[in-house]
Amino acid sequence: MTTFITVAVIAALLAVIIIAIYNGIITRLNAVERAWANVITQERQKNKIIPALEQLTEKYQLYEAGVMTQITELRSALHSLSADNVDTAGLAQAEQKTTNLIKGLQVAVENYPELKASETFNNLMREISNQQENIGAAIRIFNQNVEDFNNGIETFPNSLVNQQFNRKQKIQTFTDSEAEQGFEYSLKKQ
Amino acid sequence: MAVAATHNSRLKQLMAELTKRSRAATTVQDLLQITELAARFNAPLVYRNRLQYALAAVLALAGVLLLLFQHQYYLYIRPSGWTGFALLMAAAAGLLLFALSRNRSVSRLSNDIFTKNVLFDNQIKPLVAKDVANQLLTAFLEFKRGNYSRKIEQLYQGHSASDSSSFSYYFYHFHYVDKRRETYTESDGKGGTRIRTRTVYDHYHRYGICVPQFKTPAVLVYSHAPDHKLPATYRPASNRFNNHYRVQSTDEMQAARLMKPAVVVAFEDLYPILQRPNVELQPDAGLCLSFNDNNLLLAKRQYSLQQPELFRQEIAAHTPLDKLHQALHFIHHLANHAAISLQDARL
Repeated sequence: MTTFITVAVIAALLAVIIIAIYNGIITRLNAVERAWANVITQERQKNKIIPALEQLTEKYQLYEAGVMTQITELRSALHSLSADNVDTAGLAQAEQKTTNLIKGLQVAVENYPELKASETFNNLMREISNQQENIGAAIRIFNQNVEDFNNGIETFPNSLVNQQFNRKQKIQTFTDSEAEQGFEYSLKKQ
Repeated sequence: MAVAATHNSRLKQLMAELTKRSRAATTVQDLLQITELAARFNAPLVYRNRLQYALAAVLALAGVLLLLFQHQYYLYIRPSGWTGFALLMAAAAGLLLFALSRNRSVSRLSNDIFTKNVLFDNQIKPLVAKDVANQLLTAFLEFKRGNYSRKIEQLYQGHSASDSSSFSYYFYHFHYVDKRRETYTESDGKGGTRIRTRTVYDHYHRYGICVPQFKTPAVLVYSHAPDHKLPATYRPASNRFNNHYRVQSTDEMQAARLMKPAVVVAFEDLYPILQRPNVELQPDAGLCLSFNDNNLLLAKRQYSLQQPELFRQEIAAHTPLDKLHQALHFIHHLANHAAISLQDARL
């Protein structure tokens, strides 16, 4: 009888540990998905400034600088992003299109001095810079959560529970030096 | 001995003059003049205490001799002998303490001068304003701590400007006391124990920066839970943030609007710099960043009036308060990213 109770207690304890680890992995995965959705939300904020950029392009006739094409490409890249699937390649593409657009605008400013003096343009550039900073921060949060998740499925005994029950794959962090540089704030630099 | 007496008398006069000037100083220039005056003394700023040490030794010896004499004469030490011995030893100890203490006064004055210099360098002024202290105590949940007493012990005023924002702020030292009853066991003198109760006062200190110009909805981000809280909670996406902080607000949407990724990450970076940081935003009172660190207005002094030229150079150089600047930088960042409107008026 005593042996039976001991075995039952150990089995119950083991079950509790397995359930805790199982739930921990799910919680970490949910945190990764939420952080990813956050990145996409921040990326989609760019949709709010695209109409203003188009108006500016028409007003100052920036066609030869290729700005309109870059706006169209950015809109298309943003459209293909999904908050439900972690698609770092799609994110990298959207970030690349944003970089192209910013470079295009910088070239246009050199050729159109009146654009440089435009308040609307300066406000837009400030807004883009603010958005890029938030995207950089959202990517950092996503990468931190991914690291937590990967540690959660690779360390022992979590790796055993994951192998038998959760069966989740390791997630790749997003590495894009330009996007990360968008987030320049650091207290440690002080 | 006469030379030492003259030196000590001159030094005493100088110290009185330096202390008076230090108290009246309002600029770094005033402090530099104090160091120049100390340099003109042309002798080390150390009291010559040979007389005091010799007298103390004589008194101590006399005490011991008194005991020996009584022991030899009466074959035991009478109570009057012990009294005499105690008085002589107390007098000797008093003389030694006096000698050591007056030499420490130079170091204390150097500390006072350096502390004033640090405040001048960082545009911070001590403030005696009971109305401001009372206003802060009632405005923020941060101060609703301590069931026995709560008091703002020290208040300073400063101004901070960055490329994008500028604000005036109060720096405070808050002291609160919790009163509680506790039980303990003690010996009853008969080999058993008895349970007694006593009142215990726990003293706590918090420090912080308040910026009244912030106009914002009520949001509380805390790592050191206050006694009073707000009704709605919010959890950002960051695991690291959620490990350190909790967010509360009157409305979840307002908290979500404030906690943009750039703000969340700034909070993460603040955590290893300040101990138990809290940020409270109140619509009518502004912002309050509070923490346990007591060293934001402190810098390490290298020299003293004992080395007047080196001390003068130390005073003349700018002494930054790195931790304070990091805290202010965080507030500027918050203002830029959290869509908080700053009313740019000086306090």
